Amino acid sequence: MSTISGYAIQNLSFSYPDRNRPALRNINLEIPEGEFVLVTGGSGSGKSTLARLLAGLLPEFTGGRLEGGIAIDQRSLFSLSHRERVQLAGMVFQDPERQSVAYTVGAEAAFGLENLEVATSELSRRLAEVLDFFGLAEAAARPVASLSGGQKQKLMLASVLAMQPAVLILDEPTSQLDPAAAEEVLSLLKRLNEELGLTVVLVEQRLERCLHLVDRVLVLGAGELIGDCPPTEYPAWAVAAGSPCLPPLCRLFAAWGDRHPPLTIRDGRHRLRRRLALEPAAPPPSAREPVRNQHSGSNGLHWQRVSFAYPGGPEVVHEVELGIKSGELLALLGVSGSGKSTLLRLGAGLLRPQRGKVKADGRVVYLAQDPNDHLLRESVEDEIRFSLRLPARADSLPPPAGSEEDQLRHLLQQLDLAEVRHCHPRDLSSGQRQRVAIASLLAVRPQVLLLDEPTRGLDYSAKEQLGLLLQTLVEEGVAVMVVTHDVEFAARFASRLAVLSTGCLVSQGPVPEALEGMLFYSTQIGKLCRGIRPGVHTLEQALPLFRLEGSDGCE
Amino acid sequence: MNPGRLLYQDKGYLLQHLHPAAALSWLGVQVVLALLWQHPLFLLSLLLLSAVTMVSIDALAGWEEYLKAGLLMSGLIVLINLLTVRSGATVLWLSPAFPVIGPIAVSLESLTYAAVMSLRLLIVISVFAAVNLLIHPDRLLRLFPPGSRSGLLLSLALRFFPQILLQYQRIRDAAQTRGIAVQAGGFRRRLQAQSWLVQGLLLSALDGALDTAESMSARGFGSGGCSRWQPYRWRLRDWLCLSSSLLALSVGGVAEYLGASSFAFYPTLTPLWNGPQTPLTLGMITLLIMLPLVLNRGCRLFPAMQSKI
Repeated sequence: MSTISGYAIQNLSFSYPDRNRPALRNINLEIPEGEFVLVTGGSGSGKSTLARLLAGLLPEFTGGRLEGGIAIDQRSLFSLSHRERVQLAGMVFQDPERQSVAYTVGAEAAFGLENLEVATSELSRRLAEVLDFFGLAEAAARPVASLSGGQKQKLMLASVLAMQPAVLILDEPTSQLDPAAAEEVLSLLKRLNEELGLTVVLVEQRLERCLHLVDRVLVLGAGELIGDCPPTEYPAWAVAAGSPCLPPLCRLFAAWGDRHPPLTIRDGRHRLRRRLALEPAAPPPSAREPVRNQHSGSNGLHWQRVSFAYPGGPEVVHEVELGIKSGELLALLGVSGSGKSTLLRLGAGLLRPQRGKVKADGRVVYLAQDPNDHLLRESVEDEIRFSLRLPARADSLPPPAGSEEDQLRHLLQQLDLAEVRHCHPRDLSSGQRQRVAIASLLAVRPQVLLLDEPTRGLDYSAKEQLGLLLQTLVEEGVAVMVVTHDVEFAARFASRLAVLSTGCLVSQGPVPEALEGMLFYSTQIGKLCRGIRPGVHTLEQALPLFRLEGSDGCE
Repeated sequence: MNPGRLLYQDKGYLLQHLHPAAALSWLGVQVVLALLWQHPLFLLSLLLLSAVTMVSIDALAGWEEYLKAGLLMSGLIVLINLLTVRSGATVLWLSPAFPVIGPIAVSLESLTYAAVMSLRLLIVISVFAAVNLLIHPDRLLRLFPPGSRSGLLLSLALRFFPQILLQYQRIRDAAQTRGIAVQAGGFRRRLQAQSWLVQGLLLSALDGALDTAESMSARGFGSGGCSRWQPYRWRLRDWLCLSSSLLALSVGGVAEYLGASSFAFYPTLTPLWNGPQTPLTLGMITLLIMLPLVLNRGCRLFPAMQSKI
């Protein structure tokens, strides 16, 4: 493995071609060797651009204007050849599906080494070593497509690490993974950092997964470095700066006046017990009233003892009896492969059940995992107008009063898209693209909205915005069902929860009751309060437990 | 349609674990013989060989998908042949005279000729299917020189084909739930709906391609010379496959030269049987070219054999 003295970044600014606003502005930074650095910030803050610049992919790959410099190992990164750069800094991207180029695991892992012209004997040795380390040796001859999402991302890590770079840069490597796979990948990164002294630069938005693993947190905002602190100082910084990028656990303790909030549940539980011993807590809070509207219970969707198997495969949905009514938001949880997406597609009429039936009272629309699947037109406005002009169906809600222009304006405002109405949908952030897709579906006036993993890849603000939008729709009488791995989102916005395991519905009920007793499908706050303050699952419920202590810790 | 069926799926069969050069030589010989021969029995034996191959690697469903396209083209060949060919002494049906083209005469000879051409096409398509279903894409890539862009392009194309089909299905589902009538209405309306979907598909594919290119660049692709990880050895099975294929080709060539496999369509069909040399050479070639299938079967019956050869 190469050794370097670290990165030195001076007055770094970068603008993409044809963009007026720089993606990064005047960044000054040093990253010493062996440090585990977390880069965070909202969508469009410049995190990915910084990662690509550190890897030397920009400006070579896209073009653009660069000012200032990056030195690695006391040499300018941009004066190095392509080969020298990839040998010093390896990069892993978000979506493992889109990184893979080979058919088998072994060939994929060998791809980088082949490109570096590593001699065959050494190549075989390095390959065997990394595949063993990542637990993929047995799978070397298997097709990449047969691996799970987490295994695929581990394979990409193996492929890059086989090249033995001095720095590993990762751009949201867990954004497309389920929580268990994400934990596994992040734990591996920590091992690499600790056991090999590898410098790791991790771009991540979901801090609850990784804040406790890193040595340092860099925060970007609108292309500028606005925060640089150790992880223990970060919560206080985030509260003072009003940043939404803060895990609920840290947010809770920071709000209780803790200067250094805990970063792990274990530490949080110790502190909570200590606090309870010193100070009596307020009475247990009553559960939040689910958002419902006056039409609650009228129309909706009902899976009646539904079973389904794909051709030639085993049953993936088994005898599921589930319903959603208008004016409620149901969250369906379950691990990858538990049949959640299939159930949703059955509800949308995209698949036909082999047994049982799906009964819909009204029009059902379905938002796919990838909002790009819905984007067919040249501008946001066109995309919505296109749906408004589609022939009306008998099961749609009656058209509102007003012209097409009024309806368009209403949707643009409701989904906060007015400012980007003339932009190409694919030029927008992932949160905005998702809202365009939702707008195109709402334009056909559905009574049931089904969303498949809508929080995947969204930052805290975009998630909050999405949740509030869904609640507004629920208040307007739409039945909403969300398939998600994101328990925090489900607990915050859903009125009811259901859990699917190996195709069977194992639990369903109102949010507080459904979360009670759950060990893994639990929020950070739920895990914190388990056995200490039963019935507390959300930040809103936990905050009133203790009185706020003024300014302490929030400065 | 399940796109995965159209491509290689490792099921552990010996045929799927031949060296790509050996497998390609075996399949290549089948194509050469299909183009060399006109004799219906010889061509039928090649199609039968394809069928047995597909059964041997449990890929009948995938072959079926390829044959669907082949049968459509075969139908066209028969139709065009019947409309354009005037030769053949045994007229089966004579149509009334049409303006410009006159009467259409369907003869036994032209019908047989069209059927044999279709058969030939089906064999070539079956061999193409076998290349996709039998040869490991990574092994195929390793036939190209290290760092070869054409090789990588081929490998990526094979890898992305099912992904593109899946993506198209997702986009179609999203459009359907939105209320775009993808399969309803007249031809023009359906064509328009398809054009919207294809536009979305192209944009998504372009996004994906850029991500893949970035990942390749980050792993040093195009940074200079390349080496090659070569985990596949040339083994006894490959020698056996190559020699039997070359022998079959030689016997096939000699048979054609000696007239044992010759067949003429016009003015009248020649006999299928050209004396004892016809079944003799057909039998020899069939036995030779079936050797990889026999080895494959042997390895299923005696699994230890697979590691020995």
